[in-house]
Amino acid sequence: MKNLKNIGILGVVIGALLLSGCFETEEIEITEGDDETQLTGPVYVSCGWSIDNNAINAVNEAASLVISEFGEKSPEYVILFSTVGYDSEVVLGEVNNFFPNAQVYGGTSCAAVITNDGYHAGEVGSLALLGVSSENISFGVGGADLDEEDSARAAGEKAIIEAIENAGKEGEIPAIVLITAAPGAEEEILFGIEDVIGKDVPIMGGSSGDNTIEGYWKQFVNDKVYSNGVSLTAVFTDLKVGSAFEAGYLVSENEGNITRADGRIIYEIDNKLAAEVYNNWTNGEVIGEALESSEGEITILSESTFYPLAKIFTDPDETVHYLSIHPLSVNLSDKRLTVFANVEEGEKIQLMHGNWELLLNRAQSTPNAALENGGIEKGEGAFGIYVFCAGTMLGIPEGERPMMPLLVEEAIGVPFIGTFTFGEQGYISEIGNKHGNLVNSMVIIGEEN
Amino acid sequence: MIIVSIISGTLILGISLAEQTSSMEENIIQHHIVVANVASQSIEAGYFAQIWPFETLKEISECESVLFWWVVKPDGEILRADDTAMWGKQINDESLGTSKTVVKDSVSPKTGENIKLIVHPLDIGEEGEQWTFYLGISLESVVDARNKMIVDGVGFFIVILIVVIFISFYFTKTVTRPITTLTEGAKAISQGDLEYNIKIETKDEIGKLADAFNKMSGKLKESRSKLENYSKNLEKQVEERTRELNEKITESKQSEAATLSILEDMHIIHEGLIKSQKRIKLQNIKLKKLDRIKSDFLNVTSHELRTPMSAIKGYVQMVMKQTLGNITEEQKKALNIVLRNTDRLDHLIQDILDISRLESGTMKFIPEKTDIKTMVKETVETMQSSADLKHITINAEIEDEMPELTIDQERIKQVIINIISNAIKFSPDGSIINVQAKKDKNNILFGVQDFGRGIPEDKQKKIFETFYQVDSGMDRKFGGAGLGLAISRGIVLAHGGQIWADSIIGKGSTFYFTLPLRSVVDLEEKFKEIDIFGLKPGGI
Repeated sequence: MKNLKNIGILGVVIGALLLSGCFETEEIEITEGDDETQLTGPVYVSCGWSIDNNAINAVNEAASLVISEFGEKSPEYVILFSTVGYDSEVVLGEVNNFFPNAQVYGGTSCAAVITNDGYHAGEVGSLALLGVSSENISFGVGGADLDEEDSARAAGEKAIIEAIENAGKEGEIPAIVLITAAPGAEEEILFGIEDVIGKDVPIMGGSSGDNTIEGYWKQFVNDKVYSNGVSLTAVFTDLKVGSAFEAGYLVSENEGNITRADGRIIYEIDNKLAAEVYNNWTNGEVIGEALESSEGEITILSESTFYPLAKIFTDPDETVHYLSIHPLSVNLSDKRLTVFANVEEGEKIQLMHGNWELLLNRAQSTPNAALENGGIEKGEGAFGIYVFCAGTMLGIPEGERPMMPLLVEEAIGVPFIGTFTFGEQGYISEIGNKHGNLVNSMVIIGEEN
Repeated sequence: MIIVSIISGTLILGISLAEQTSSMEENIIQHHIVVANVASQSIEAGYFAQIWPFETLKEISECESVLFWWVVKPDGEILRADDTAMWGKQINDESLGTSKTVVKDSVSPKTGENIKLIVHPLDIGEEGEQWTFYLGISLESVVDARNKMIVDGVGFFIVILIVVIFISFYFTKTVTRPITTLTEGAKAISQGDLEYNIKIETKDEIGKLADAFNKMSGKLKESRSKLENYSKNLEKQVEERTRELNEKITESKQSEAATLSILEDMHIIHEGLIKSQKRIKLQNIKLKKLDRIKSDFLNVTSHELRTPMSAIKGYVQMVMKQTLGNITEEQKKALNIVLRNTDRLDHLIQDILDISRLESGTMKFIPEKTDIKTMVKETVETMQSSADLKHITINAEIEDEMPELTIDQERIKQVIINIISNAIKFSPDGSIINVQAKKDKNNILFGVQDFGRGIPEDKQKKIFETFYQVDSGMDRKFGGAGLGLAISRGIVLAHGGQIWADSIIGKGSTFYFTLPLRSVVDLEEKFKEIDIFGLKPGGI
């Protein structure tokens, strides 16, 4: 009996050991990496951001970050991107308070802002500031209210003239122009700008956005907030300037000629109803059975993000450039297609396609292209401005969006500020300045001549 | 039993759980090694084109058991990770830069839980640089499953234990105790205690067994008592028998001498019998020899007689046909008489030949399928010409539906001809003869009826003997050798049939014979078995 008892105890012990299992563990040592972002001359740049629920606190927080890096110096130029969750008037006013001597340029961003510190999206709102001070750069911020001008073109003209004047560079042509405009008349604005500075100066930027496409967007021009305006920065510098303006989609075989159009409405492609042609090209993936109805209008903004149309430009070197335009809606009665950019009859268009992975990867390829175009090595830029179409941003799964600014930062290695826009403007080499949709762009100002 | 159950159950449970846990863990690890491989290949494919497989990496992150993934540069900087907060951080790990997959235990940098770390080489660097892909996987699912198995296993074990205890008690009560009681009872009975009564009052098989034991015990007691009585009686009988036996022994000694004398006489008789047997054998051999000589003589003589007979007949016919010259009417009449007598002699020789074949048992048969109706009709028609000489009419009554039989047609015709010939011979002028053939059970029955003088009853069997004639002696009226019916009998018997005669003196006779519907296979062999001369007891 005693022996049996002992055997029983032994058996329980063995079983417990088997059940419990034993692991040897190894812990991996993790340390902070080297911070490659350093404040160096001849361009002093610093970024700040905040997602505080209170607009004033947010500005305080962001501005404090900028100031902390600047030390005794003070930025003479500030870029402000903010979401519409904050009162733009309050935000700009507060920024002006912090930087009374700086020219302020910027506008509202859709849903979030980005800096080299990451992707910033707050419960109420988020904002980012980039402050610059350099003896090698002259900035001039100018703007115009489209509602108060005769035309969008006139507004553009007015804005650039004001910007050049504010830069103290009358009669000179800037190296690059940054633009933030209200959505709707970007092409005309561009024409107005080019009327002053010519077609060879890159005009880079995007249309300000809001969170719901309801017109809450704003543009910041020093101490003014416009709802339907344009904000420009004329940049005068001998430092290297690199820029890239890319869509990043794949080209399909489906193409056709716009045979009837008006402004941003395509009625017919190859003499066939535009929506039907588009539906055919996309195998019903975007419009689908809804096309069978003959009444009403449907929005296809979200679905068409991965199936944009593209304008085709061929430069003198026979290189073909595709500028994506975003289909917005379909009118079911006449099967017209409304897009986010102006189109013309006789213009050739082609279907593009992609996925979020492609769009996210642009966050590295486009900055790299900007570096290459400017002849700037990674880490040798001063600062950057990154514009990313809000539509494409929303097409990326929310959990993956924080990768975007990290990719940009990894590519350029310098402070930058970014915004999510409702249209993008940029310079296509040998072609000129264009307005497009679903595009991302990068501007990098170098530290060297 | 309970203790054994507990110990063995614990051991089995423990070992089983350990095995299953290990197996599950192994499966999970293998699966994630594949995942790491897929991720690495996707990264390698797009790296130089600056295309990161974010979609694939996102799917990997979304796996329940995946805690994190890192893409780590050769210097330990995390270039990419599922958590952007890890980008740019430095790691220090001995597996960094591995050229083959390593699986090891580690601790999650986020939660501190124990994890498995899969470290997989990533070929995206310059030559000499080895990047690494890290995949941290949680074994929580294994732990959860193991815990669940433990709970389920323990629960199941407890249930089984309760059942075992219950069954033990039940068996103890219903089986073990009664069997013990039975065993004790059987032991007592075997030791002679037939008064022992097994007290089990259950109604199951054990109860019945106990009952049977008790009855057996009762019977044994009874039998023992009878045996004892019998034994006593037996002793008395033995004494008596012994006395009787002694008396008989004395008597038997006296009769022994008489027996010896009888045995001597029997020996003498036996020797006489042996001598007689030898004599009979010798006589038998002589008889057989004589018989053979006689048959040979008959055969040879018949053949020797037939040859000159044929010559005589041939020349007589030639002379009668006036081939050798004209002859007178008187010469023709004389030659007719010669021809008739040569025919008679020829038939006689033929009969003698047949008899010799009968004796030697070598009659030849040629069996063939025969239409009975046609055969009988043809035979009757043949005999009608002979019947016409005495103005006798032969009627044939043959049943319509007659089957075909396999018989020696010529021999059966010979039988019918023999019988009809006799009928014509013994019928008065102007009478009728009826020939019948019909089915009779398994046979065909043939009958030939005449209205002649009849045959005495005591001779109705003898007429089938060789050379027997009803009317024998020097003054017999009808000729013939007396062989026809003997030959007919032999033929009918060889075919498996029977032959007999019915007759009334002064009124006529009917001769019958049968042929079986099922034909005899070997007629010649059958013929050899027939007692043609009626030598066996019982005669014809």
